[in-house]
Amino acid sequence: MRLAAVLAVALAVSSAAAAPPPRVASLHLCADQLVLALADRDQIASVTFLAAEPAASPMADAARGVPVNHGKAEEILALHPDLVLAGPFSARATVGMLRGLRLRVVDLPYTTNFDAIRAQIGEVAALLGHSERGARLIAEMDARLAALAPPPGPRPTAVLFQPGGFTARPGSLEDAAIAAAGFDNLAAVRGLWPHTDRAGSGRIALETLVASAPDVLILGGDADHLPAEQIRLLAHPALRDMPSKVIRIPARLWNCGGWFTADAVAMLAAARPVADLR
Amino acid sequence: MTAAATHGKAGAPSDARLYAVLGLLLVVLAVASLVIGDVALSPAALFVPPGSIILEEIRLPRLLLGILMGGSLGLSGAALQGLLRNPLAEPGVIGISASAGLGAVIVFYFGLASVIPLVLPFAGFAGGAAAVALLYALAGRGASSVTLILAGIAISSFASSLTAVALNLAPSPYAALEIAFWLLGSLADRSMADVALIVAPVLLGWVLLGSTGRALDALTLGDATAQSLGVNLGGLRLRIIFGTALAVGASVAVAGSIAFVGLVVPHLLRPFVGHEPGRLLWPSALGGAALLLASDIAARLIPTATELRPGVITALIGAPFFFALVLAQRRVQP
Repeated sequence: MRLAAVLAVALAVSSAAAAPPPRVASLHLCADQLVLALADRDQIASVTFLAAEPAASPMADAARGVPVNHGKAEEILALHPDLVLAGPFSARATVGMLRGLRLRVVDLPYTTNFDAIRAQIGEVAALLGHSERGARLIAEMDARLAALAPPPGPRPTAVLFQPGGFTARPGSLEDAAIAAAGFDNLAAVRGLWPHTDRAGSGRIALETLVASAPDVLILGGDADHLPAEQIRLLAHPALRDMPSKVIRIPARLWNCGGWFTADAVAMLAAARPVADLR
Repeated sequence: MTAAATHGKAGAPSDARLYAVLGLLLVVLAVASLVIGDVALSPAALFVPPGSIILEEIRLPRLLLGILMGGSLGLSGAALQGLLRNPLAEPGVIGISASAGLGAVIVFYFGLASVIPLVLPFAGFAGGAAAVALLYALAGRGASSVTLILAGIAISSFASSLTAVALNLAPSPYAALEIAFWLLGSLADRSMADVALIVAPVLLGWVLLGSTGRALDALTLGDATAQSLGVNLGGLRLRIIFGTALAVGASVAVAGSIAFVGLVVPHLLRPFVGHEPGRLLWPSALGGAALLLASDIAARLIPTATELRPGVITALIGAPFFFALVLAQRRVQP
């Protein structure tokens, strides 16, 4: 035990002395994406087990072969990382314990618009000692968004419908992506919330959705990762009978805000010209 | 309605009036449930898109499920109370709803339901049948209220804990929240596919339960007298067990568990049929359907942060009713 403790201290001291680049462990799927895109492979101590799941993780290919954790403090401690990245749903007890053990833990909030995405990419790139890679990633995303910018004139309408009946609240990442693709997000613009929904849960009633008759109906969520009950709502015959053009956006593109959210904008923008004709 | 014809001899006029009142109530509630919803639509707007889509694909299935499920609960409550000669018998109280829910949860969360839709009502039926069989083995016939309720609690808790295990092992992190809401019972956003899925088992269950009127009347005279009158007790029990499991099991499989309808409705209607269990059956089916529709309409109208579940409303009505029943029982058997 003593030997292990001495070794641990020695390791910590040696890695601190060798300063950049820091070894990093990620506790959250969203942080995984940034780590996999920005860090050197030998810098990455561990990412979450979700990072390698193609349905959930845009950087799944890059995660292949990278050691994984399940968000438990013991796993992280054993790796002696210089930096731990946590997210909004990381267990607070785990984060508290790691901080108590004098690990450097940085909390990354959810990003709900493209400015926040730019800021977060920049912040993590700096933490990882690769600011230039961050700047490149931001520039690529901005170039894509600029190319996708809508023409002036009347904007087609869209409503997002996700498993469980959730839609895009004003100020959400989905709302930002829909707007960037040149659509009016009807749920936000017209306030299509049930009169009962004062809490702002972001749910839309199926009847309200059908009555809103948007140009484009955006279906979110991936069938593989949700219980059948929620998927059934997305397969409701009433949606099939709506005259709206229907497109599906994979959840991984906007579950976390990132440069890959521009892919969701691209898919939405591709649905636009037809909508313009209406 | 044949049951009414054969068992209405003593009070035919009052039965006719009871059916007329209940039928009218059901029609009014049915129209209301087609007109009331999240979107305010004028009667004319209900027949052109998008109003017609809302009417046909959202409100109509909701109405039909309400009638099928409410009728099943009322009818099986009346039949179980007659069979067990116990006023506390009800599909929810004696654990059928929880067990049918367990069956549905298992096929839902391990993906079977999306592969073969027919598995869902069958799982509900299997869960319900297992509960009734277990109840029967535990409590036996003519059991005291205490034994019956204890057996029901045991079965309910067992089914609930197995549901929790299924949740623990479910592959999806969303499952826990989802099932918690699902178990409260809801008719919202179901489709005609759900109706088609359960209509056959439910109606078959109704036929089985509805055919027991004469035997239930005879049973009020005691097992021996009933048998001397030609009642096959074993057959009667089987019909009620399978009828309840079919009708309630299939309903629970698509709409979650809705409590207390089967308890309250027969009690409310019993004075109007001269306390004859046979004459109570079909009025309880009508009354159950009416109560569930009324609760579902209330769920849509009461302004709360998220839509109330009809199962919550029936439980809020039913639980105080249950308290009163327990107190009344205590006065009878001090």
